[in-house]
Amino acid sequence: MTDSPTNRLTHPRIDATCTIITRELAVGFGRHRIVDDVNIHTHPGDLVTLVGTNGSGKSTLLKTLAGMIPPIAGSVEVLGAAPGTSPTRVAYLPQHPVSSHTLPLRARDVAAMGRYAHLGLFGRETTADRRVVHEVLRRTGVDDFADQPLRDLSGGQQQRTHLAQVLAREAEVLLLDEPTAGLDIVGKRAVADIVAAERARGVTVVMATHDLADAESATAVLLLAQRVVAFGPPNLALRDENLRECFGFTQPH
Amino acid sequence: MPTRLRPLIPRLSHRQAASRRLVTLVAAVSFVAVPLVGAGCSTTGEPAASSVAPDTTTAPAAPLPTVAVTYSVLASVVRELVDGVADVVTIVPDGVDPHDFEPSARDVETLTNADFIVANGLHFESGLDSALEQLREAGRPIFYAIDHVTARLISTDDDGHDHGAEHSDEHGDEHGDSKDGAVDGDGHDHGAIDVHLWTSPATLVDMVAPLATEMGAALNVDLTAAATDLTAALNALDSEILDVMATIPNCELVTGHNELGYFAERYGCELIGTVIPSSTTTAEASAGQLAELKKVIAQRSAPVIFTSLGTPRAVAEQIARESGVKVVELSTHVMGDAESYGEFVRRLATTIAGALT
Amino acid sequence: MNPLSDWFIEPFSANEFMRNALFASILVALVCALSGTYVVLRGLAFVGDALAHGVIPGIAVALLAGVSGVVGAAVSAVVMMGGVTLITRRSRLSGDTAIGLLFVGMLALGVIITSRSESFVGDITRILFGELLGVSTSALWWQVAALVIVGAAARIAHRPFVLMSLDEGLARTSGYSTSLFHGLLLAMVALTVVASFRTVGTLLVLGMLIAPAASGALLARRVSTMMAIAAAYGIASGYLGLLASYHFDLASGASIVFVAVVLFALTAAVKSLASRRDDADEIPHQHVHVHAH
Repeated sequence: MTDSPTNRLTHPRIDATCTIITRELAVGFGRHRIVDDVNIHTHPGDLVTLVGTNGSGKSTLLKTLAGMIPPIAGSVEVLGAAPGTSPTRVAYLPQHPVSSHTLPLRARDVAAMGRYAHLGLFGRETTADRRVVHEVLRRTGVDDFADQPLRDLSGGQQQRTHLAQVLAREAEVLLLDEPTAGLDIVGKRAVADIVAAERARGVTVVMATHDLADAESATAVLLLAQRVVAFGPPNLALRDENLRECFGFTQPH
Repeated sequence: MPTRLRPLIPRLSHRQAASRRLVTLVAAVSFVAVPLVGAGCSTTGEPAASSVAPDTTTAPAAPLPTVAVTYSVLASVVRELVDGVADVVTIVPDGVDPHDFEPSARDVETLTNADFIVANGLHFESGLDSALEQLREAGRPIFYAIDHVTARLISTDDDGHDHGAEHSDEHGDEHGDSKDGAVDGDGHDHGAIDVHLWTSPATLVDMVAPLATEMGAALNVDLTAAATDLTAALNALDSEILDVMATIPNCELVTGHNELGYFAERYGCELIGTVIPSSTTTAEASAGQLAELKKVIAQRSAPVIFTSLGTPRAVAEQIARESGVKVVELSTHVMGDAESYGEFVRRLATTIAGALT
Repeated sequence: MNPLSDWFIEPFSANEFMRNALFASILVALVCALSGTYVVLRGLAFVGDALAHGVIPGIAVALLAGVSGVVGAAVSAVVMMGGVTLITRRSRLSGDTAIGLLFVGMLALGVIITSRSESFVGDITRILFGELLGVSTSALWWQVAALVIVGAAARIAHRPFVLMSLDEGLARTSGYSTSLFHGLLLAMVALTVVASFRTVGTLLVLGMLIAPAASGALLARRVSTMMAIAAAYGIASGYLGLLASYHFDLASGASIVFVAVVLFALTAAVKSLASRRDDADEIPHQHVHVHAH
């Protein structure tokens, strides 16, 4: 399976330093399979971009990696353990987190919630925690509006706030579902910079996106269309015939 | 070097497992606490009054005609007229509050198939109003008691004091709306007619003759003898009660709702206040009215609050506690163990007299 | 006598039933502030309503059996919670529809039970509208117990509740079991309803659960502030509602809930006016700027 053309990587093999390993992974809900036979592996500092249309299986795969839904077949290991068992080391950003306009939460409070995985139910917030949050607010630019309640923020600001919460986890693996959705060019650039900075620290990032531009700096791209269309470095995976299969059009040259 | 595959069943970290156990414990405590807290709170209602024995007399070989009466106390009177001649069926079960009884389809069928219907009238059995109205329009024989007695008007001012009554002679066949009287803005029944006509035999006796005539005609029997006997019995009962009530030096009544008007007027009592400021149990007491009631009880040194079916027991007990008076339950709408109308009224009078002497 | 204190203080100082009613209302306000905050945060008002109505058949059956109505309410609440959970899990219907059917069914069942009983003593009206003016001191202690339990649960579950109100995925991946904490919130609401329905009745207890917390959500920037505001609004509603019942001869339970809802409406109105005024402030500056060119 790892030798089949669509699955070949010019990339180090599976070894003990792998952060995510999937073998013949099938994901879906209940009996309904969405994507079959996913074989990927990642190392620290990797960025794997999941590319595909809505319903292609990107979110389902991310949720499976996050441990929110069980795999239908095959196996998956995240940081050497079953998905969902290491909340302090794996952080997940859902697509369009519901930000109801009644929530009386300040941006800084939302960001600080990223520490809950470490604190559990009763753990006291320490100065170390506060330092992490402070730093995250600065890096994401949320400190500009940190004291404003969520309901008063724009869509882009809310998205950045949620990203700040995910970063505050100080996780080793980031699973991001469309983190650039609803952001303008400046926002998208900021996310790209943050992802790059995390990667430089050795964090593994798996990111689902519509936007092909997000995939350019990836270590590997997984193209999905309710099945694995291609998996490989961007220049190989994002070839015209693959894109046509996925989206029905090709990139402008 | 192949990595060892871990099982797919998630294992919780130690801290997570401990938290999970704690949370499960608290959830379990909450679940258990819900019924326990419930058990600790004092009772809202009281144990059920006993169900009444079946109303119908045992039928002889030939089926007897059926007379449907809306509530039990009135039924006990009607039975004395037609005992052995017709089956008397009560619609509102004894022990259920006739003020807010809602009939089932079966109840409406019973009314429809009855050979004669006796009702109180004037929206007392308000849940039966529409059924009775339709039957009346269809020409079924219905006798409204309120049309044939000397009805009493309620006149209450803001203190809940009942300044005696103005009488209005209401003979004839009008029912319902024309007799409602005026209800003014604050909802008190100024000038409305008291429906609780059965509490005084002196009031009821007026309806015996017309009832015997109409019911006899509908059932094709002669009830004049029974009517004469019943009239005599009611008059004798009236004298008996007068004697009992004469033993009370100063009869001032605080009742559950405005239910003893006819009784009070006939037997020399004054209605000084009610827990529910209305002639129906479906109203609610406000804090202001309860404070007024406390003042009246204090001013008049009333020794007891009489409650009945439909009186909010907890409220009555609280007011009684604060006023230092006792609570006595009266059976004003319920026959209970009483097997005849006479027994019903005697019990009412002796309970009141016993509490006030 | 100072006429102001006559109007505001004297009704309570002179009447034990008023004091008891006030204490009961305060306890209700506190416990509803705790549960109601999380209900509003998580958008579960409808479920709260379902629980409030779902207790009715339990009360009816309990009274028929000669048992305390509150025990029946408690059992019924637990049944409702199970039903709600089961339906939202298994059903293809939207949660709203299913829950609505369940609680209407329970309400209808309650009416049927009470109407067909030959020996039902205890007005369905009082179940629906409460008996605030008859509350005894012993009942108050049980309300305190409920408050303590709900308070403990809130203290434990605060973080997962807040995370879940943002997004359930975030909560789960932070290591909290969403099904467990969802169940805990239902249990808290059930306990709140059972401890509170005798004050304002099952029909209206939802108002005390939601209106003060919703007011808090409008004004607060933090959850702790929201809860404090909810408690303050709830207590104010109890106090003012009882005064209205005393001075204007109004039904007590309904007055309290009405005040709570009016306070919410006023808060919402003032807030919307204030924000409109903030927006309007910017425009004159722009005009000046334009003219300056």
